[in-house]
Amino acid sequence: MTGTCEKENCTVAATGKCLLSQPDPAECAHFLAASVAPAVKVAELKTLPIAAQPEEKEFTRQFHLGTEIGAQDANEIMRARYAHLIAILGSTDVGKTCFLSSLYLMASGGTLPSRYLFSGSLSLQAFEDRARGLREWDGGTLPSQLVDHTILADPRQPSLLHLGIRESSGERRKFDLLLTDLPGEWTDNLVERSSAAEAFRFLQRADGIILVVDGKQFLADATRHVELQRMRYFTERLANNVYVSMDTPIVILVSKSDEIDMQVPAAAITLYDHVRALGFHATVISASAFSRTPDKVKSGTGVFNAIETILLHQPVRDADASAQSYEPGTRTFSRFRG
Amino acid sequence: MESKDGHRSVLLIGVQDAGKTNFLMRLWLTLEAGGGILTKAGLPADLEYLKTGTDHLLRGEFAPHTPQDVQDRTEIPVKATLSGRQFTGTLIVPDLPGEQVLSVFQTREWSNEWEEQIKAGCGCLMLVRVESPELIAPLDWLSCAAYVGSPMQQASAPKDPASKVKTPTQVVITDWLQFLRKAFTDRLRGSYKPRVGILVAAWDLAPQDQKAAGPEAWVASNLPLLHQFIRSNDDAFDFTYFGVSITSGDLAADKDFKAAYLEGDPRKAGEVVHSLSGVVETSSDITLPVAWALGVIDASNPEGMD
Repeated sequence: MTGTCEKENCTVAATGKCLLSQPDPAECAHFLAASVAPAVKVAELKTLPIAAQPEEKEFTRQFHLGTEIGAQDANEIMRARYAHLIAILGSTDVGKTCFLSSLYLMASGGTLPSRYLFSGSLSLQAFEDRARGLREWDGGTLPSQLVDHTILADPRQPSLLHLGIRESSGERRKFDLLLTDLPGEWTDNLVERSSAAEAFRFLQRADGIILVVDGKQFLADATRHVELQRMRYFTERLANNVYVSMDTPIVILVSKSDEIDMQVPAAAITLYDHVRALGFHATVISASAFSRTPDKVKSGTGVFNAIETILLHQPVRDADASAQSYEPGTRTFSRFRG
Repeated sequence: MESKDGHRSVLLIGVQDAGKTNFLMRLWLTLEAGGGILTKAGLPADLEYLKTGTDHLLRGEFAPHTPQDVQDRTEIPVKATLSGRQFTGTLIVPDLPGEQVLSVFQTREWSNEWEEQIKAGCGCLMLVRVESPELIAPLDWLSCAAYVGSPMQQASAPKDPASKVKTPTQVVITDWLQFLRKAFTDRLRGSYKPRVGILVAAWDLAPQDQKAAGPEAWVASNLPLLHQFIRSNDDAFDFTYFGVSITSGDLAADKDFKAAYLEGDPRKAGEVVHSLSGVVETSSDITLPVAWALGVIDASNPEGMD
């Protein structure tokens, strides 16, 4: 069905894709169907008399969109309360989206470690869409920086996902996690060109980095040397071109570990040594976001461990730097934008 | 409920086929018959909607689904006498179709009709119905693995492609609670804790092994994301759980039950399972969830008025 949309930024008339992710745009409350017969071309819709359009509803309150969060929107969250920014980095197809989906499934299914509870999310629909494979990277020319504002329209944009968790007992501390959702091409671009560092500047205020490496590729002779070298370059770029703070913990997450019998590849240890030599605090975690052998290795293995490793990391910071970087309400992305 | 102490109301919120209309009709029959914590204090000025709906229950049928274009605002004068104190007022219950609740979730905005309900003294009952075909289950590992192309051996493509576009009920309700929290914070203040009762309708259809543990255990098992949200946001809302059976049996599928139902007094059917006193117990007083949401009774003192 053709039609237009009354919602700002919706491109349904041109692309047929609904800004609010309705599979059938006609089901969206904002969709204005071209109901006159015969079918009206998109270009002609502009000239339709106002009387032909459905009566406009008057709405009074808008809520969070439930999808990806832009950098400026993240600023609003961080002004209100402390939020942990965790970057999920790695090359294409190493399992970054599976990591996010696996984390969400644990929250959705009530299988987070019992010491934590899901406490809310401004990105529930975004997690649902990823877990259903509905938000694939579109290929082509990918944006060179995080989007500023929450955008629902295709294509998928480099952005952030929000997940709130809370300790189930004791102090019952709340943690607001802002997890990056970045294309693997960004990682490869940074390896090849230092000029790509600008896109990663936001990492200067990250609370941690989860560097996802493919366990199978890190184990096989035919691929491990190339992949290890790529990650050596990448982590050097993070240190020397992006200027990621040395007290930012880096978790080397060995994905698809169920397929390598949970071995820790020697290449992962070599990378660990390399990252430590650069000056970072490093940890290696074997993970299986979706296990091939759930009777032996539980799906989700290692996923929350990576998050918790970062949450529990105690940075040793210079007192002045600490005040600048961690004072709630003062940290912004905009300082790191190009 | 509107009283000399101020305006109070209860919002019935639930997606399609959550049991809102039948609960409202059973509530009115109980108020009208008397014997519960809340009773009627006269007939509503506009009785047509309630009469039409309750006629179904009195004939041994479930009331039909609220049409999408119906936005009925039911106002029922009620009174309660507890611990020597009398409480009178008007129970205001909008019975909005589930489609509208889902539409608010999808469009991420609501209209003046909803906004005007957000005020001090407003409580909520969020309804889900056991075994409803509209109760969309959470994603599971196998389905998700198939969707994201993970090489799990057992993963296969979903049998029902349409299921890809249906958002799990626990996601809709959780986002609705986040909407409500924002609205209450903006209109009142962050410290205002609205009462929200999670009402599991058609409780008689719950599996026997889950019945014994009460409605909270059913929610934990079937809607785990929502259950965690409720546990972790007990400082933002005042939550409790109810399991409600409006007839205590299946009028549509069980002829013997229907015959026995009609042979007795259909006005007095139904029961509520709750844990207001700390243990799972059953009450024949269908007004209990509304009385709690209105603040007429406390969780710790269900027999007394707050």
